[in-house]
Amino acid sequence: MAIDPNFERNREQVDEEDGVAVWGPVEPPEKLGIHGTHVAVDFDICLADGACLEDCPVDVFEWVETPGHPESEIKAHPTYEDQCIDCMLCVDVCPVDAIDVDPSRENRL
Amino acid sequence: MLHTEGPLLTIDVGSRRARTASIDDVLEAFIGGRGAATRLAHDRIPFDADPFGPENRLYFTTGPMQASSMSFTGRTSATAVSPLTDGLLSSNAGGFVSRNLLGTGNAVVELVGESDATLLVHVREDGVTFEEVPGLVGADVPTVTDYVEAEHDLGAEHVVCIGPAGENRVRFAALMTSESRAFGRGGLGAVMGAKNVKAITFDGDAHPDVEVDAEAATIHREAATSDNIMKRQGTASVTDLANEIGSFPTRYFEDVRYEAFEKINGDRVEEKKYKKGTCSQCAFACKLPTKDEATGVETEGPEFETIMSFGGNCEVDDIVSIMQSNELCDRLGMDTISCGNAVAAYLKAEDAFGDDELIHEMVENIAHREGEGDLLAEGIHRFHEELGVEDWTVKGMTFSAHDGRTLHGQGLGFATANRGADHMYATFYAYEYPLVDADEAFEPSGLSAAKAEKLVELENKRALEDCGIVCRFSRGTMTRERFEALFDADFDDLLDVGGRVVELERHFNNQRGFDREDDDLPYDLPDFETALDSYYAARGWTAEGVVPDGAVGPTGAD
Repeated sequence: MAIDPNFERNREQVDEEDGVAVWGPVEPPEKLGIHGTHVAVDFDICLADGACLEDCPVDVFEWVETPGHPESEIKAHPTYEDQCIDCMLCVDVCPVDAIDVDPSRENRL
Repeated sequence: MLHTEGPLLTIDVGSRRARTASIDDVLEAFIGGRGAATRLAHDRIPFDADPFGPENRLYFTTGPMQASSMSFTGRTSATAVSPLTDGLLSSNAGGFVSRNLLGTGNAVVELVGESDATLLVHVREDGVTFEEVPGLVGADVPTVTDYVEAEHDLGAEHVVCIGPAGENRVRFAALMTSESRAFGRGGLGAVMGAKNVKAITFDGDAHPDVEVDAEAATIHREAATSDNIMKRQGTASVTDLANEIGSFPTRYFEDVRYEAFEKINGDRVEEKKYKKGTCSQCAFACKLPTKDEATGVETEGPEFETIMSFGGNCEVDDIVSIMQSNELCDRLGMDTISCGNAVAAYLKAEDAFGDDELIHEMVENIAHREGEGDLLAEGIHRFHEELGVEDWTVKGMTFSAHDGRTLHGQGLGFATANRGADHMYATFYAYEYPLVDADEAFEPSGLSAAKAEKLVELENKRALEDCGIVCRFSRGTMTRERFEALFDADFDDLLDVGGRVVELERHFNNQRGFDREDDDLPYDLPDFETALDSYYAARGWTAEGVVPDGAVGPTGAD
C-alpha cells in the first residue's frame, strides 16, 4: 500500500505538530495518519528506513519517536517541509512509497 | 532565444526617485544576468567614472533560469565598476535572493547616485521605498539581516547588504546575501557603501512568465541523485588534488604545496559539517554549514579558496582557525580570497606566518580600517611596495588557487580575464587537473594556440552561464544539447552572446586605459606572449589587447 496522493480530499486535517499538518484518522499509538501537506509522509506506512533523511538535499525530515506503532517506533517527520525544493528524491528512495511531494497541494485546499 | 522578462528599474538614491524603462532589446540580445547588466553598464556608466562616485552604477540581475525550479539556478548577478580592479566587473552569489528579486517583476535593478544619509532601499512589485537607518551605521551583516527581519518581516533571503567593510570602502568588500553568501572578489560591497546604501531588499509575487523546457526537470533530478563528492565536501573536496599537482599557493605564494594540507582538507571540513546546505531550488546542495563544538565557532565553509587564502597562504594548519576567519569575513562583509591573501602578505612582511591571533585581529582591522588594516584594505596591488612584498595580482585582483605556475592554461586565463586573477572567469583549471572527461582534458604544462582558442571558448561559455544564470557547478550536467534545449538556440549563437559580453567588458576597460600590459602575470610561463597573440587573434582584438573601433555597436545591433 502506498500513500494516497489525494489525501487532502479524502481525509480531514485533525491536528498540527511543529507547524506541520496531521491528516486523520489518528488513534495513537497504532494509527498516526499522514503528516505534512507539501511533503506528506504516511506514518502508518513509514517503517523508518531512513533513506529520505539520508538523501534529502535540504534536510526536510527529522526523526520523531512513535512508541507502540506496529510498523516502526520512529518516523520521518517533514518538520522543514517549507524548505522542500521538489526534487522528488525522497519519493524515489522510500522503499514503501510512504511519501508524496506536491507543491500545488496547498493551493487546492 | 530564451531571455528574462521585465523592465530595468533605476533607483537614484541621491534624489530618492525610481523609474522603470523597457530594455527588451537588451534582454533579447543578452539573455539576462551578467550580459544584460554589462550591456547597460557599458552604455550608462561614463568611461571615466570613479568607482566610488555617484556616477558609478550597481546592477542586480537574474536570468530566465531563475523563473524555473531547476537546480543550479539559485544565483544572482551584480555588476559595477570595481574599486579593486578599476574595470567593469560582474560577480554572482548563491543563496536565496534570486527568486525574490524576480518577484519584484524587474529584470534588472540599478542603483545610481549617492545618498546623504545611510539608507535601506526596499524594492517591491508595487514600487521602491527609502528608509533612513542611522542606527545601522557600522552594523555587521547579521545585525542588518536581523533588523530587516524584525522591522519588515523579511528573512535573510530578501536581503543584499554590506557590513562595516563596505561602508569603510575596503576595496574587496563583498555584497552579502542570505547572511553568508557573498558577491565576492571585486569590491562591489564598497560600491554600495559609497552610495551610502546599507542594504537593498527584494520582495514580491510578480514573477515573470518564462516557459522553461522540460529538460530542466531531468537536470534537477540528476542534481538530486548525483553522488558527486561536492555534495559532501563542497569545493573543499579539491584540496588534495590541488596540493598533489602543485597548484595550492602556500606562505604567500612562496610554495605551491602545503605540507600540512591534510589538516585542512575536505575531510576535515566534512567532519565539521553538521547539516546540508544549498541555494534556492538546488538539489545539488554543495554548501557547507559547519560548527566546532569545542570553540562554538559556527560558519558556512570554508570553501576551497578560503582554505587556500587563510590556510596555505597564511600557513595555518587548524581548520577551526580557518572557519573563524571565514566567519569574520562573512560577518564583516569581505571577500575571503582577497582578504586572506592580504593578511598573508602582511604575515610575510612581519615574518609571522601561522599566527592565528594576529590573523583574526588583522581581519577586524581591515574591515574597520584601523591601524595597518587601513593599508591592507587597499588591496595587495596598492600596498605591496609599502610592505616590501611581491605584487601577487592581475589588474589589481589577487590570485585564487589553481596556481597558474603549474596549470599554465589557467595562468593564461588569469592574465586575460577582464576581472583580474580570478579562477571562475574561465575555469581552465578544470581542464588541466582534469576535473572533466579525459577527451576534453589538456596537459597542465605548456601553452599553445589550441589552449588560447580553448580559453576563448571557456570565457564565452562562462559568460553565457552568467547570462542564464546557471551555476559553475553544473559542470558535467549542462551539456551543449541541454543549453540548446533550455535556451532555445543554437549553441554557437549562445557562445556568441558570451563572447559579446567579454568584448563589452574589454571595450569598457580599454576606454579606461587597459591594454596588453594589464594582461600580465607576476611570473613567466613558456610561450606566454605567443599564446596571448593567439588569444587576441581568436578574439579579433588588436595585438595590444584592444577591441577595434566599431566592434561594439549600439544596443541590440552588435
